[in-house]
Amino acid sequence: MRISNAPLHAALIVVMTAGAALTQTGGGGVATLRGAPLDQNAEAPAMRPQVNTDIRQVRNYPEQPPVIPHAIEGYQVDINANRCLTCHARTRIGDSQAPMVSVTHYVDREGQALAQVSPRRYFCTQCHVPQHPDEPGVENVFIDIDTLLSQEFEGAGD
Amino acid sequence: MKMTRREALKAQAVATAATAAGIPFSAEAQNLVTDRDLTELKWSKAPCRFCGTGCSVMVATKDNRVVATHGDAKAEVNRGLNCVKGYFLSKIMYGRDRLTRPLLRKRDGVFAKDGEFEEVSWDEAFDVMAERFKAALAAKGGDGVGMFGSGQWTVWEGYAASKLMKAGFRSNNIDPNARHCMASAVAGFMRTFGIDEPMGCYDDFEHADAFVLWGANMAEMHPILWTRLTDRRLSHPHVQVAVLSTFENRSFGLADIPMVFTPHTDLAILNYIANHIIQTGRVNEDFLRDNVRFLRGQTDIGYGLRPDHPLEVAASHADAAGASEEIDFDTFAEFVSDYTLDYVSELTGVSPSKLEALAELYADPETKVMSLWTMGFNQHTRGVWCNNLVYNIHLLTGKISTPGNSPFSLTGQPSACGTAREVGTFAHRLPADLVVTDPEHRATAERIWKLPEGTVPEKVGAHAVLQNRQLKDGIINAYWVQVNNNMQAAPNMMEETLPGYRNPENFIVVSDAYPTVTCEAADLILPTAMWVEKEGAYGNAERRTQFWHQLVDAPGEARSDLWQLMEFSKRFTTDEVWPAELLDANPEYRGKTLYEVLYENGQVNAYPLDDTSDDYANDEARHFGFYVQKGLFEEYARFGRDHGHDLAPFDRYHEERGLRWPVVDGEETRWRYNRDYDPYVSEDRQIEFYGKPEGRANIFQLPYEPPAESPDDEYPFWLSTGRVLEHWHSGSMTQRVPELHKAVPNALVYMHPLDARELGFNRGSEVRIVSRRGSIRSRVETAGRNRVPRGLIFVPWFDATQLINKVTLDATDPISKQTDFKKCAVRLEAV
Amino acid sequence: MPRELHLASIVVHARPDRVDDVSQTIVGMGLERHLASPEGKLVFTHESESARDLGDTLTQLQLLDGVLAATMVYHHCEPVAEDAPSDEPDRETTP
Repeated sequence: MRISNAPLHAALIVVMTAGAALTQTGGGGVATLRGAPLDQNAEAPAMRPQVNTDIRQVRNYPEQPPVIPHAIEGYQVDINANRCLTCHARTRIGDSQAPMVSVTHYVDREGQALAQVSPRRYFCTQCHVPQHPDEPGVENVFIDIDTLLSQEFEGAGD
Repeated sequence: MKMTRREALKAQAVATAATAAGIPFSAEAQNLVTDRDLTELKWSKAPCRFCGTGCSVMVATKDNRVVATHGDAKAEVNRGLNCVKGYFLSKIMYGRDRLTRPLLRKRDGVFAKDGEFEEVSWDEAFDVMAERFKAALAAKGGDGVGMFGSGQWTVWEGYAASKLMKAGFRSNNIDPNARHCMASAVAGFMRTFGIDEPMGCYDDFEHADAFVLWGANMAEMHPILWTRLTDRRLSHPHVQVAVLSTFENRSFGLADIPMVFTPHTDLAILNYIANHIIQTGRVNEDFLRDNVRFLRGQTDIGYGLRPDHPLEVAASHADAAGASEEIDFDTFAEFVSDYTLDYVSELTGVSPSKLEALAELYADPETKVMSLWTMGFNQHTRGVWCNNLVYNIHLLTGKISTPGNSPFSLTGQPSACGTAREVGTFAHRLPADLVVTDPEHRATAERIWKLPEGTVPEKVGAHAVLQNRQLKDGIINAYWVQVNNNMQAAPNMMEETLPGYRNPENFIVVSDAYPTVTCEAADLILPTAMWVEKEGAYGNAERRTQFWHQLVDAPGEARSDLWQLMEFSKRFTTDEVWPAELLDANPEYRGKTLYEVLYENGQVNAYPLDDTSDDYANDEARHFGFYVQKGLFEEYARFGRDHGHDLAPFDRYHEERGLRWPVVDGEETRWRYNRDYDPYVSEDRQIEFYGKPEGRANIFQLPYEPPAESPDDEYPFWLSTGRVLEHWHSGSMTQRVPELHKAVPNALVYMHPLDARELGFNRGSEVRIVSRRGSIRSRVETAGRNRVPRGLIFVPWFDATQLINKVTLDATDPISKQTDFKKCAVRLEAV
Repeated sequence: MPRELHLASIVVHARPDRVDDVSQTIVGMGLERHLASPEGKLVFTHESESARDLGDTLTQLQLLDGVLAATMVYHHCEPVAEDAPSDEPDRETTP
């Protein structure tokens, strides 16, 4: 295989078969997220519980909604109740010590500040998602602004 | 990173000294870079790369990299919000495995179908590719080549592709993956109104008193529109929300009228509502008299399977599925009178009280109602009928084309409307709703394209599913896939798609940014620039056309689809690909490259490099030596101007957060067919459906007919497929963003806990999902975001490790040719 | 002898009417100025490879015309890896 930008995760390297079989099933040595030849099925990864450490994750940029560092399985968030707000609402954080819903959430579509969280922000999981302890099959090389600025300093210092 | 550490130490030193000296802390003293020259980011607008909602995002760049994104507060669509995918757009281009060099299967230094991928130059890639396309064209003409594009093409990419295929290679074998997504909606619009795309717009969300979700799970699939709907519902207590689906999904969390119905029986519910409106005397007779015609549609039309399939042989009208004849109101009323509350309740499994409550939302003249649908209707072997039938109930009551009264077809891809539909990259279409079968339409295209009469072929090309069948059968031999992942997306992979791609007679080219499973099945992989690595334009579901600039460079040798299409066209001359009679009659076209006749035609190359922005790069313009995007757009816009599809001048779109066509005298149009808003409506009409004769829309008489495949003893479960909020389509972008991957790492099979218990499965058990066509392995989920009824399972298709389309059936709507991915019969086995 | 990095911050109290020229002189000596208050307090950082150099600099500052006081507030010292170029005390992996 002569592909410079290829596979990182050993389990994801496509098993290569030779000759006629290759013609029929693909293969050819390009690494994908597949994990098995196209015509076969690998074992489905085991289900793992949501991360529940309560350790806040660093955001990639200030505008990124924080991921949820705890399990939310079975949380009721519907027209009758919003379980998230029982800890994250302004009035509840004294007891819960959870981060308060951001002030941006108190603004309606027209930019008017409201007394309560705007209904358009009601369904929290549209933006905030829990995490599982499953690493992606391929690394992401996004560079955040702080790292990029440090690199500039380095450049300027040389 | 020595400076980081030293800077940090220094900042600490300064802070300590400042405290000791009693000097107030300034930013300078903190551990913060404040030098404006360093911290200033360049913020530019761009539409989101994902769904058809068309949110605008602000993109921050620094040193040729995207470093942040957030919702665009100035954009009407989303007013500062994004969904979780949109908030992570910054990271979609930075998967480590971006493709940066062309890859060709080789053995012993030459192309070999069974070879292994090796890096090659663009020249070598195009040499081999051109040789294969020329051989196919020489042997079979346009029938031998094909292209599968996408509603993710930018407007000009789709337009350039359409020209290359339809005029250059003289083949209508070009189809977008929007065929899997929107084709039934398109055919529904054309049959009822004669013009594609919704008459209303997103402003309807702030005006409606009731919302009805016909199978759409907007909470996950159109989250930002869901925020607008939620806002309306929760801010105004009189508003009601009805959610219909074959299983309980997240949208049920807001439902006042939740309704789980037996798959495929939505047809009967729609006819029951029409019947209810008539029986309770709530027909808007004035509206009907002036604006509507009644038609009886052809029935027993088959299931779009291969012609020798028993279901096709048995169907009496499979060959004339779209036919219809005129009837009167009384005939229609009598027909729907069979759809009584009792009958429909029994057929659908929905309680009579819920059905009546739903019907009243439409029947009550005081309730402004917005109907919303996507794949539930469209991926349906009677999807066109569903679209027609929902328009019936809006037309019977006159609840249409006014704010808040809106039958609204949502879209799945960012430019399903802008590119696939408006540009007309379907096998039967030309730009601005023109079709290849109409001689006048072809003549219009040839005139605008400055090409000889007879260049565009009349024969309708192969649609998405037919392309895969023709690849398998060796009819199409040279095939180019751009911006989509059809090995994962197309139905019946094991019997059709995979054998088609790996047929030794065929040469398959796949252009993509990442190595997808479609790449894996290809013979040549072309590395492709994505999203803000090129200048682009998308059109969203409410007819809004949005532009963006190139903000960063593509990695390595990756090139945009536009560059690839135009550069490839240089390798063909008219003498090689056009028939002698065409050239004999038009000798001035002899000896020219397709590039010259298609793109260097005095129109596409009319705008000089100087017209491009000083603030942004434009790799394609620099390469070709003229403002190629502007030239393509302005030529394309000629099709629609003064024909109800008017687009604004090119440059204006770089200033606006998009404009909704038709843009007449600089003004966008929010509600079409209504004189208060639409300049195309005649002076003497309040409402005019001007796409149809006499300005009358069609109400269709169409029955309930059963699905192609239903559960039986051997395969006792319904299988429905779909998406999840955190991943977009096949996951080729979102699976490479760690936060999104970790949110939903793998597909799961959602099933009822009692079904699981009966089969001896627990939550997390590994199972095999088996159909007559193939199988996959997955894990059982009996809780979570979906609650499915007994006898039905749901599996999302984003996961490349679990290719659920090995299992699905390639039955299509016979009119729209769109696959029904929502129903087939499967069984479950312990692994 | 192993090399070291010394990083220190120094508060200089100058006569208010002499802040500008004192400040200029000190920057000329190779120190970096960070903050200044209206009453004449200035914050500088100083980097060197030896404690002796730092001590000498402090003495010079205290003797400067127009300076009322010069006090070291913060001092950090760490070894410099032998294979690193002299101005790169702590190279971490760069992506």
